[in-house]
Amino acid sequence: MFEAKIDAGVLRECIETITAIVDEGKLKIAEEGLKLRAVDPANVAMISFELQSDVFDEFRFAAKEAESGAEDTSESKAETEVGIDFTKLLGILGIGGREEVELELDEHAQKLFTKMGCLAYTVSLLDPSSLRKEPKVPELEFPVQVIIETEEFRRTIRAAEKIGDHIVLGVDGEVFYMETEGEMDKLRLGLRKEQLIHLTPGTLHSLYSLDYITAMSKGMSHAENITLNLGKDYPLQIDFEVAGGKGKVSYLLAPRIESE
Amino acid sequence: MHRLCIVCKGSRLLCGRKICPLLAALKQKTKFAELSNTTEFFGPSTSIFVGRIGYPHVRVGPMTIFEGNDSDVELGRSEEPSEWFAQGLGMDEIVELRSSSLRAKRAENVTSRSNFVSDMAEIALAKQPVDVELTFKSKPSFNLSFSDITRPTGASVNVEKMHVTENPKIPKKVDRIVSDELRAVESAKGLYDLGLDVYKVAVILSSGALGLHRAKKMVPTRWSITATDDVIFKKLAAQLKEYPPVDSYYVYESSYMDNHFQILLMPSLFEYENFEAWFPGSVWNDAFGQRPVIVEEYEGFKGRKRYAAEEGGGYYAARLAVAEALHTMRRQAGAVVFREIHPRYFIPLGVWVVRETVRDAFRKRGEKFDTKKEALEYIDVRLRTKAGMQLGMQDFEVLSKILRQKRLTDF
Repeated sequence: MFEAKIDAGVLRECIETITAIVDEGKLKIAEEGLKLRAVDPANVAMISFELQSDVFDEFRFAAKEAESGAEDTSESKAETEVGIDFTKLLGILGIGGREEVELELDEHAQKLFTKMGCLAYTVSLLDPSSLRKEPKVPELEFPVQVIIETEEFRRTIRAAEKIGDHIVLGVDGEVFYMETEGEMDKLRLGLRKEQLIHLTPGTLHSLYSLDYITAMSKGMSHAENITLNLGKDYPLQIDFEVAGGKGKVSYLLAPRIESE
Repeated sequence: MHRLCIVCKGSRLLCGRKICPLLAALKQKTKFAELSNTTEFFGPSTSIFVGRIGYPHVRVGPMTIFEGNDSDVELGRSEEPSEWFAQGLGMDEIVELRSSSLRAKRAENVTSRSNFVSDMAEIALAKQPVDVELTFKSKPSFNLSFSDITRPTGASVNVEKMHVTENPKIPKKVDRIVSDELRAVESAKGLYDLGLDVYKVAVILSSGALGLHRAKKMVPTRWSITATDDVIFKKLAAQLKEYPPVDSYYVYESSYMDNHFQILLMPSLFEYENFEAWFPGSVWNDAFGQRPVIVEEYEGFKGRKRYAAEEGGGYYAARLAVAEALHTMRRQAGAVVFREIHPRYFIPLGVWVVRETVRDAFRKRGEKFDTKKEALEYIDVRLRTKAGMQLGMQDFEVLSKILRQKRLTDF
């Protein structure tokens, strides 16, 4: 059983972070809130998403096992997994406006009922077994961490898109830089430590596909700051908060091999 | 046509061919002289052609063969690229074959429902060539034309009247699909499922026979070819994206008329990248540069929305052939197509060259490799020998969306 009420804007903001990486995924519902981990079809980008239940105006959940009085007492089992087409859901939320959204899950019929004001929308759930397995998170250690204003980052990505296909993210001493090179032009953003919220000094960089970062930068548009975790020819991890700090998102992106 | 041709003028065969394709076409022109005084034509129409200039007011009409050699085999042959490939016809033979075609045309709006247009639709749907009587407005003019997408056409003439003198034989199942109130995309898929090849589906699409009744319209031949490649690909892709990935790395290869293809399949979900390396002296590389010019287009698992402008029809033709092969294997894969266009391919003959050569590559057994590195090295060696060291894998990798991208599973 799952029933909840949430501000439409907050829900939309959360789903946008997911659709930046995948169209569909397995959402885990538990007493503590919602969770999702999914990887894009090419195995290049991953999202880990968590939303605390107290961001909801109302949140009621009871796992199936508990209802049927099953003997399985382990608490970790107290969660339900539903397959959702987030792109579709987001489309409807866009029409629903700014009102509060009521959510109700019918596990038996495999439907999610949503209600926005006088608009009721029934989402058919996807069979979780038809969806890709939840990915393993690679064990990574990042030598460098940079905290930057989201808008600064997004602005640079928007400019870089016009120039090339790839972007270098790196740290040179006490400067964090983003650099992209096209056939004709070159773009570089360099920020000194004092222009950033945080910086671990070092010397390293990695190259990433702009297609993916562009999608991610749309997903992070509601966050004030983002934390970039970097290494040398290493995946990039971007962490940020949504829903007024009640939601946590972490993107992971595999690098490109640089040409000699 | 080409700098080399201007220098050579058919005398020295600088292109390295046995027969000059332009002179072969000229030979047709001589034969054509006999016809050029007539203002009437009686004979079989093998296909139709819909122009694109002036869209939606375009020139449309039946394609016929004016040259005497009219056994049914020959007629079928003039419209069957898969046959051309199977018989290993060379550039000159294809130019010769196609230059005996006569394109009869008349100005029509694409939405026109005139008798002329509905007769054309019947010719397009018919299983065999249909006898027609044409009355010309003027004398035919010989103007051999080539395109990157469509097959070469020979003479053309403005037509006053067309009279279909026999009942076109339209297969019942085809007729049923066409008469159903379906969107053109759905009908095209249905026709392909009946076993019609994309060439025939494209002709039927161009004739305006498909689509919801109110929306029926003719489609310029050039557009209909790529549209059909795209529609049929999407149909196959929806299915193959459910299949398990191939178990290892495979390389397939085929070569035809100085187009050399190597296709790499990788064990991953479907994604597709197509490279074209135009050598100096090939159709679109004017030999100013010393090195081959490489263009790249890519699409991920989700597919693409934007037209593949860098490569145009060739991208879609190769993608269809790859999807057909994967569909037969009941597998999906990450696919990278490496196409080299060598200098001796200097007359564009249409995208069927791409489609048929890629199809052929998959008819052979692929080379299997355990790692991507080994597969790429294998391709590299073959590139270098064919290209005379002018081109290596590295030139492609730098541009590639797929090959240099690490995966999260690598960490």
